[in-house]
Amino acid sequence: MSADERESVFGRMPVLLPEREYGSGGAHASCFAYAIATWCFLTGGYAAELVGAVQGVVCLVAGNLLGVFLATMTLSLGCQRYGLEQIDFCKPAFGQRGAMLVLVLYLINMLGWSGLILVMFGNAIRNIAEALGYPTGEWIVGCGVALGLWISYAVVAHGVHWLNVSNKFITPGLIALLVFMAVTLLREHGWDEIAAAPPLDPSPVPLRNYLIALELGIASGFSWWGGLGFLARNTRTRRDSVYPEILHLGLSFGLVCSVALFSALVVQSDDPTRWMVPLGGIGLGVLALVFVALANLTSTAVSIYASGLALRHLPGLRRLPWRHLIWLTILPCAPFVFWPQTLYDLGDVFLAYNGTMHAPVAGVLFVDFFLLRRQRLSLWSIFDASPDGEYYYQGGFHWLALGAAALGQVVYLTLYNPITTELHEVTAWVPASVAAFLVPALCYGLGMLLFGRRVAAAPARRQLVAPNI
Amino acid sequence: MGQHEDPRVAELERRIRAIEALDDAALGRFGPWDWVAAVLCGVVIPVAALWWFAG
Repeated sequence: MSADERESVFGRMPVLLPEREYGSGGAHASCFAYAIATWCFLTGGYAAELVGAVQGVVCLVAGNLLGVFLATMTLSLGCQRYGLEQIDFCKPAFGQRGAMLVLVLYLINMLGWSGLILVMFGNAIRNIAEALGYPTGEWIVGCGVALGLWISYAVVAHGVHWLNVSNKFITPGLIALLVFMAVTLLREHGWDEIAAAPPLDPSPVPLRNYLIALELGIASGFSWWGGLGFLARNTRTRRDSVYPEILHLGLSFGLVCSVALFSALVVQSDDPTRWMVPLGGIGLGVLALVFVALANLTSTAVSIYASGLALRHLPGLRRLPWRHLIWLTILPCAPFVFWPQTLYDLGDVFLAYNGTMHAPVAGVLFVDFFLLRRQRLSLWSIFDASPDGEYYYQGGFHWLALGAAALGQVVYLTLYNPITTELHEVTAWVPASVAAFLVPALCYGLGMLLFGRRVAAAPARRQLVAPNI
Repeated sequence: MGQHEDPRVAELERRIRAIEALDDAALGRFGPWDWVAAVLCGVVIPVAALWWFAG
């Protein structure tokens, strides 16, 4: 692969059709590999705090499908048509600088997941030490997070090659681990025991638990927002950009989360690294923990790599050496070294936050791409940051779109406060994440019909005056 | 139209021209029935399941 091809696949250049890696089989395999990752364990564990097995499966599978559908239709069809990654795709709707605000949300998503997964890595080290009879404490988890960050830095700094090599072993290994967990659960405990296992920390109102678990499911679907553009721009046909994402990031991911949910309910712990020894015994359990720890490192390295690439959008960082850029992505994860358990316990709040931040953006993009622009974008304008460019708007910001997205966040937090877990009664009919998608979509659509001509700037031109690459 | 001096920008311009010249048909179809299938799998069936199990 030439340097230009590498740049187009892993950088911001639009990917040409002959360069796209995924046919039908490749798209399904890649989406499946994405879906079988260690964050499934976290999501299933958090759901187990609220609901039992049957309702948990419904919330995780159906909620996740719904979230993926709302996030994927616009990004997949748009990024596939133009070979774009998702932040560039946001520029027609949000403006050249407005898209940078979406970038911040994207980075919080990626680095938040990295931190949580690294705490899981630290927990795995602690539990291995415990299983082998060594004294442990929270300090060992913090040290594990620091070690994980250092290893991730070393891997990412050496480029994507090491990630590709490790993924060849990690994905099949994770599939084997999940099959092992599912078989062990059904053989040793049986479906009746799993279905009867009580949730770990429910509120006294069953409907409330169900609705909050549903929010977690939908939010976990929306949290794929950050990876959808990368997958779609590398597919060759439009169907291959949509169906594998719904099938695997929606359905398969929900089912894998369900295996994690069952494990958490049976073992009565939401910490995935506590499931392995009770399920597999000391020998197999420790082996599984070592493997989960390795898988966590790969997931973290992928997130940090993607975050580093995303930072290249910022003009001041485009020429910064790659290693310095990686340091910038690792620094925000430092609090996880010092307060691992406190931050880990806020993981369900973070999951809900994914719904808060991505649902409104997805709603605005849906209306903008399908209804207002009829799926027609100007690549010249996307890559041109000159103040009289078509997508520059006012000062680089499309305030109507940004205002609608901000309104969506207010709607979400009004309907569901993830910190206090307070729910508005409307959520019995419309989940907060779905409302946070619909309200901004409607407001933005109406606003553009009323004021669109005022915010639309110069017509598209076919040259780059101020290239933003 | 002259080529840009910066090779990265020249490469970007080449890619933009190539993608804009691409016929929609070359990227495959995603027609009304595809939308029906996607809405059914992504919205209708999940919402029905959620409704059914809410009680």
